[in-house]
Amino acid sequence: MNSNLLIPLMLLATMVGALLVLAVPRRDNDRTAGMLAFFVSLLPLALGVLMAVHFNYQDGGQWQEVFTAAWIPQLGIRFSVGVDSISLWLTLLTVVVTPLCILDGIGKVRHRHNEFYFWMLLMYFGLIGMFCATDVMLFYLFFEFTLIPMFFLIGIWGGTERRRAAGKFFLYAFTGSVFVLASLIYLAWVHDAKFGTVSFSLNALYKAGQSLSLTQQCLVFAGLLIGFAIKVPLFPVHTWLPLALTESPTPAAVMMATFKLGAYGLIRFALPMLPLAVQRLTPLLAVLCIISILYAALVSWVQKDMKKLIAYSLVSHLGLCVLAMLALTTTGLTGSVMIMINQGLTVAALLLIIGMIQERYGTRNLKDVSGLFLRLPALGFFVGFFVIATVAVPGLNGFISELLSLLGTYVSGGSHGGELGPAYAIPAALGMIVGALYMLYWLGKVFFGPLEEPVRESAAASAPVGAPRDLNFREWLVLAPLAVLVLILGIYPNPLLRSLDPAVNKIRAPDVAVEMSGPSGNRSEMALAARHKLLVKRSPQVVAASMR
Amino acid sequence: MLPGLSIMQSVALIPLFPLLAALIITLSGARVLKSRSWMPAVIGVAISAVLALSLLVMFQRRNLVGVQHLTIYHWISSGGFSIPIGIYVDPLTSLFLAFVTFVSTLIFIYSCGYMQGDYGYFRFFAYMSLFVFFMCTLVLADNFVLLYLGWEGVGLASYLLVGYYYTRPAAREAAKKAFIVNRIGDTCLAIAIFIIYLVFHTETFSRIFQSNDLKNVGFLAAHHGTLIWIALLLMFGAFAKSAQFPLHVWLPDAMEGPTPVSALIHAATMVTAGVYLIARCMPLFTLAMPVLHLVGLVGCFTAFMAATIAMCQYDMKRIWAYSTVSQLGYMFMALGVASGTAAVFHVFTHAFFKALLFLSTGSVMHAMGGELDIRKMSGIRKVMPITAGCLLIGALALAGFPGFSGFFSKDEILSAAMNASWTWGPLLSVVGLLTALITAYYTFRVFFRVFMGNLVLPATAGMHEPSAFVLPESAHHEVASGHASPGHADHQADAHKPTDGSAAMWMPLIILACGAALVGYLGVFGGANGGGWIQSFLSPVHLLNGIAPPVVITPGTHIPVQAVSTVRVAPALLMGVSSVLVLLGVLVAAYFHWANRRAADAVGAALAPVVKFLENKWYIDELYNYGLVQPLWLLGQALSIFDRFVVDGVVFVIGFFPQFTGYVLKPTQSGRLRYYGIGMIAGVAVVILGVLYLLR
Repeated sequence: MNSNLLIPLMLLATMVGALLVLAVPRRDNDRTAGMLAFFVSLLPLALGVLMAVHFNYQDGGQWQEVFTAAWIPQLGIRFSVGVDSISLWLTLLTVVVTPLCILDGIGKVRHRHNEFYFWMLLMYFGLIGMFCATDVMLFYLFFEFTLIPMFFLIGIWGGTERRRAAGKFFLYAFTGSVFVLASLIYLAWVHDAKFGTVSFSLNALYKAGQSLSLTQQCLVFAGLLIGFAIKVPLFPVHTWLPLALTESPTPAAVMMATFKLGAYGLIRFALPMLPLAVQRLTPLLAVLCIISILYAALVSWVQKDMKKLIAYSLVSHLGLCVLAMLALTTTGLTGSVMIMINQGLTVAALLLIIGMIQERYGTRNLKDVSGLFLRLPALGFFVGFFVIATVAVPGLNGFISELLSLLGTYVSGGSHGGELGPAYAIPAALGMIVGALYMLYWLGKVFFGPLEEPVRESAAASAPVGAPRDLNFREWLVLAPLAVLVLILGIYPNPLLRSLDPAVNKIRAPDVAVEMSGPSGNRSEMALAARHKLLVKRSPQVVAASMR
Repeated sequence: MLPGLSIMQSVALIPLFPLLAALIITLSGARVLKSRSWMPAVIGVAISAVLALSLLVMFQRRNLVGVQHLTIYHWISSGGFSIPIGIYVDPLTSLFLAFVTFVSTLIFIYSCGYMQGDYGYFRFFAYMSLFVFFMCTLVLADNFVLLYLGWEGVGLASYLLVGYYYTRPAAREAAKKAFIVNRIGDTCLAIAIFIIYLVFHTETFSRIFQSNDLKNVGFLAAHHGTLIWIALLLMFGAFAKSAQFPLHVWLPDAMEGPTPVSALIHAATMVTAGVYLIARCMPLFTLAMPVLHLVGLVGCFTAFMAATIAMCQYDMKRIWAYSTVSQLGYMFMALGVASGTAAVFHVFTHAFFKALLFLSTGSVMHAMGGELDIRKMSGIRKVMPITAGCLLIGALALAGFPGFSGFFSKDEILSAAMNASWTWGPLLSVVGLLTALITAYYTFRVFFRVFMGNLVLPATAGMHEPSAFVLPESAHHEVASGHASPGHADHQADAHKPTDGSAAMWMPLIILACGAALVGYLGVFGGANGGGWIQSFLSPVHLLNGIAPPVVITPGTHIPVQAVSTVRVAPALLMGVSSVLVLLGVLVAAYFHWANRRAADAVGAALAPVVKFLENKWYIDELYNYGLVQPLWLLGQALSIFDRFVVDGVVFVIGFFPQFTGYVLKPTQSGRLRYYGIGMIAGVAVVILGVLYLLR
């Protein structure tokens, strides 16, 4: 088989599968649609594994498995997909986690089955497309497209405040994307004006972006940032997430929390496209990230709703993700991508577990339950496991990403490149302490202590028959693969880390992407020279600061 | 050592046997092994102990010399940052490995008897095996990041084991506290790791400690401040793990765990990891003398403070916990005067006698139905003679009674401090002597109160503690059917006479008692040149006892150190003084707590404010609670409200802006064309000016 077709086949499988699922007759308490969706969702997983086997990890920075077709030639938009190592791992995360979400939905979704799985598969389609797009307009379309299924998933199957949550989610995300679109179109226009061709290919826009002056870059960057920061989300535009996450049905919440669309947008577009702006705005943004880390961690600690607690912890972790990215060191960028992967796995597991608790007890409130480990030992084991991974105990995956992120931030500003340094890394490291505080508080409150269970209407208090049962086979099947991955990525992450090196180095030094030809050479060289000058100028102070 | 494997490969397997045991128990403990869950654990740790002891013998016979390395695989690499999973073996490692696995084996065997019939049996052995794995990894690591893995790993195991009786809120809180306080130290250690990478471009011990940079005057001068920071952060890491002031608050609370856990983790092994860290990093600490002195001063203060608190506690385990804090203080005192050997020697003897004390206390607890209040029992030597004998030996060793192990190791520390070149060294030694007096008093206070005098048993004596792990409906069911299987709610009916417990419990006690009585002589005899075995065994360890730096870097900032450079007081004289003080302490305890207990109450009443201050542990917990935890919680609450109403609100207002603008501007939509024209021109002008300004 021609491996170039792998990604289009993945997209095709999800799209066709979605339509097939929609065609399943709608009956209540019918699992056909769910099972069909689950098997369909395994196809991209198989294709993803093939892709991973076929991928050349030595050249992780190069686009591979590329497929390109003309689409709207008048506007220079092409259907062009491919993966480098960052995209590859994020795509693999998508194809691993989504089937588990669908599996979790089976038996939990109570009505309109076919539509539910239709939207889930469309979401799947959008995510794969987004992580694999190498044409900027194609990326944008997929990026926007994910909003639609999510809107319906929240709005139809959500909790009591689902309408408000869906509306708020959509408005926030949509407002942000308008700015992203404007910035991208402006860059394409610049490319047309300076280089005489209309193109939305990544390399073209990198070239266009790098050719801009500092002020122009800052404006474009601001546009991209508004969209991506909302999506990440970063303080102070994070408030849509707790509401949306709380009101979403579990599988949708997992999809929302696991895949770091905003962070991916920043690392793929903003950083390499606009080096001067990044350079200039880094300290300011880093401060926002640090506020995100500490502020969200403290807010997370006092939440009563388990899902809200996880939502704020997500904001906290993503603060570190963006901070490490802005450090612009190889280690920091790798750490940032690792947070996207590792945090994705653990947060998915934790949200699935909270869903399982809610299904058993009808509540997510910390005050209603206690000592559940006695009742649900297997579930308790998984909770403990994933909490340990989340608080970054070495041996599990969370440690790798936190270590690399903090180290990358710490060494930034000296000979390793970048603008940050200890002054940013140390406050961020305090997040490790507060992070342990709220996760262990939650774990202790819900799973340890004397057994307290809310009285449920279905079973009389004295009848033990009605007591909730421990994990069933399907739930084991959902949680076990995540646990295995968390363990493997903690013990032997090195192949993954090694493959990320070339890709992140390309983001650090984006000039590799530019062919130094034509009128472009001059401008981008100037931009780079300016950047190096900045580096050289700043570094002695930073080195001195780090020595103090 | 193992057939088909090289020595180093066999050494690398030492942590893996307990890990394998932990895995087996986790996977099959609940359904297959059940009450046989001790088997893999004991076998795993026993194999490790045999391997570790053979390693010790190899170093002793000089089959192995110097530092041995083995890299197993590359764990993390990103950019220039590369961390292997590798082991670093020298006599220090080998000594730690040997006593950790040996004491673990004994405690595991003891636990088979002690934990019998507990519903969570398999969890206990899985966690304990996991702990041994992490502890061995910690002492075998050849780089700081792998050490950090062991470091946090033992913290995790401690969290799990302190919270073993998870249905008790006190255990839950204690576990959380232990983890969080340790996290503070871990974060310091992590930052130290970052700085080390920045300065040395590596994390590997041998490359750092033996690097030429550390002998290069220019390098040292340029990095003097940085080295101070590294040492300071490592110190805080060590203080958290080894429960030194002000991060000692977690250790007494950690006594909520099962007693064998307290014996193994919170007395013999894990808490000495901080001593190991500083001893291992002595080459760095000797380049940061002010920090090393701070280590000594804090250790000295902690030793004294914890000993005073121990005088006025009533819970046996808590007294031993404070005594552990105090003894760890002695070890840091030794490190502070750059005498790594004395510190490690005390770690070694302490492991035996403190494990013995805890396990004997565990037997008391087992027999007394969970009661540990020394005011509620008396004269129990009559019902549990073996335990009484063992606890007496442990108490003599802890008190530093002449001839017992604690005497020799404590004396080594006091003498090192007294004769250190540092001006304040003698002060440490004097406070250490005073603390020795207090130690003898509080140790024998427990012994005389509990074991001597008339026989008084608490009401719960002979009963099993009610199981913490019974589901409401199954307890109901069992009572109804009258059938009690082991591990479920025990009834008063099967109360029996309190005894020493099964052979699995008293045999390890006797072995440990022999150790507690005798291992001290290893510091006196058996070495080369008439010295102690332990000193000559540890002598090849790189810079364990400090060095003279190559050159004084800048006048006044660096003092060349040698462990013992002057002899102020002869060691023999110091030994005599400390023996007298210890005897005095024992006699005072005998008078107040055996011969005339009423007098003790009278003195206590006379000194009520002091007693209250000590009973409340110097109010340090309260200080943390009202000074740090509560304010942070309130801040969290405030921020949560801020988030809900201000941050969300502002965004809401921005969202409302288009509507509002429309409302305000409605009157301008008058329908008159000329206003629109003017408006258009003005707007275009503003846009053009704006664009020109921005794109200039």
